[in-house]
Amino acid sequence: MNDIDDEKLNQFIDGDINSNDLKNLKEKLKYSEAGRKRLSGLQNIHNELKKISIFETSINFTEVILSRIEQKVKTKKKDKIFIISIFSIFILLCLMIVGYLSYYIISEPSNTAVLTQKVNYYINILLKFSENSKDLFSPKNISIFGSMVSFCLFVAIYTLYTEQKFVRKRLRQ
Amino acid sequence: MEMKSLNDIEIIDSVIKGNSSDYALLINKYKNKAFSMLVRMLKNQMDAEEVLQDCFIKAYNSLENFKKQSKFSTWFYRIVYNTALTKLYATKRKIENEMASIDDLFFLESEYTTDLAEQKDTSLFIKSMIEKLPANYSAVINLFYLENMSCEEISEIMESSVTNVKVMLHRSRNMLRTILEKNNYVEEIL
Repeated sequence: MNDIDDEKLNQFIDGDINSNDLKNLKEKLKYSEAGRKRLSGLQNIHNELKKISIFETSINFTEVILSRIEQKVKTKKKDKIFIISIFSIFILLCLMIVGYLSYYIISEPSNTAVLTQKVNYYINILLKFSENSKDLFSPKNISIFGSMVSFCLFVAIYTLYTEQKFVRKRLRQ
Repeated sequence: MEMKSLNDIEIIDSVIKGNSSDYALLINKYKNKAFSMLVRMLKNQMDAEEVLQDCFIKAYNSLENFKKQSKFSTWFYRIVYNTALTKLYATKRKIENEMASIDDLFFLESEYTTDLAEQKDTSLFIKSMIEKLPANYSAVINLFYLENMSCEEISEIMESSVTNVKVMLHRSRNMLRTILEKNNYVEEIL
């Protein structure tokens, strides 16, 4: 009868067997030639696997990675400089507008009414536009548009979620 | 001048401080073993090299997020393993085979019966079989025998249970032994 299982033999090879099981295994092996052969076979496979070969990357592998990293760092720096420049220009423009308005208000206080009139004029234009396009932005249209966007979002999120779940499940099997 | 050998954490600290060229030390330390693992997982040297480059760049970009409680090797190999799986999935290989359940290893047994007679050297034969193991089994064999990692570390890398890793390791050995036995290598190997 073959009552020595491979699991125990593998545990024995890995030194992962408790003392009781070890004692039992040794006892069984004394009387089982087939068991000893199987153990020997596994031991040989274990020894062969220790000699598993190492593949080598191409000679300039390290240099290629370092140059890619360097390039990425440079691009990042450029991006940073670009964002800072745009932001600076924006701030400068804002400061110029504020400065001009302040100068305008301080130098000619009587013109405040004119300024208010101008602001009111632009607000009226905006109001007229919104009135003209009230058909487009009617509550009904807005609710239809909102429903469509919500539905699309819901489908996209659900698809993404199920896809991720599927991939994770597969990968963890 | 005597070159001081730095450990992984010291190298990482140096890289984070701005000495990006020190990253070459980490690359040189891990590239060949990680490459071996990838070649065996992806079964293609060009893909493996491309994926490994991406892994080193990913690791570089995330170095600041690396928590020093765990080993760098464990953290890095997790990146390598996950990137390899993503690559396998993206290239639409038969992931069902690659991520085979334990019983699916038997398909290898039938595959090797035909060309075995030509292979005289047992060591070479075993090596050629290892190259053809499913991806996750290859990863376990590489990490266990090449990196001398424990099953606990491997389970952390593969985000799997220790038992599962041990099962994969034992199944691989059993399968290799069975194939050898079936193909008359028994006398030689035993």
